[in-house]
Amino acid sequence: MKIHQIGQKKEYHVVAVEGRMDAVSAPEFEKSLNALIAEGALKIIVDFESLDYISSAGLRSVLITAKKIQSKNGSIVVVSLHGTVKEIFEISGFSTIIPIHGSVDAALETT
Amino acid sequence: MGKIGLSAQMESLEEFLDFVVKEAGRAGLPSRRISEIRLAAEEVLVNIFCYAYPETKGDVSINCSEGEDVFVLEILDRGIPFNMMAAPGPDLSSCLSDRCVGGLGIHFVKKMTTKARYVREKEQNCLTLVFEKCREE
Repeated sequence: MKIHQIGQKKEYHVVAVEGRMDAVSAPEFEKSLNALIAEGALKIIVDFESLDYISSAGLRSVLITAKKIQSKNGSIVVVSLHGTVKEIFEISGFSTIIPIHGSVDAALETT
Repeated sequence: MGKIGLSAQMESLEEFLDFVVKEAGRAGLPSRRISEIRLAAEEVLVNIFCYAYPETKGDVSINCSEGEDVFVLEILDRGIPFNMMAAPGPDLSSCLSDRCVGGLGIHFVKKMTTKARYVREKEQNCLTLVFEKCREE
């Protein structure tokens, strides 16, 4: 798994995740996003365009991050889900608790 | 088809999953299905790594086999008796602040498998997961 800091678009910090988010790599995602939040980011877009796989451990990290940012009155948006990753978000019910958009641009338009 | 046995610890996860993906590929499964099988295997393995051997070290093994229309994983450990498939599922309806991820892994295993069977025999947990090779979307 690789995490790319894409930079800021409007008031959002955009982070792209590439590869697989599993029980081994998920803590790294959490750490990276925690660092961003600690630096003061309150609005984050997580781009999963290049994410090929996510397990419950990955979802747990997304959930923990979302809760953390919500407790600071911020928000997290997930974009560009596809394939198995999209399926996992749907069957976990995460699609209903975390805002999801088709692309970074679509997320920026609706906020 | 193949078999792999490694110690029940997180450091073994990638090797186990690479093996499962390779075997599923050899059985000619489509990539989407392979990803689903990888997921089910990860969820079962992580559960075993975390809970099967609370006070000792132990091993896990996976046997892969195939039938005409199915790919089968048999996952064995000598840890404490535990039927993962009988554990309660998660509450999928709660909102973000109430949400916890407990039980989600088991939910995924149930969703991805066509059939699952658990038996405790010869002091081993034996979980057999059967996957249809091609699944209707």
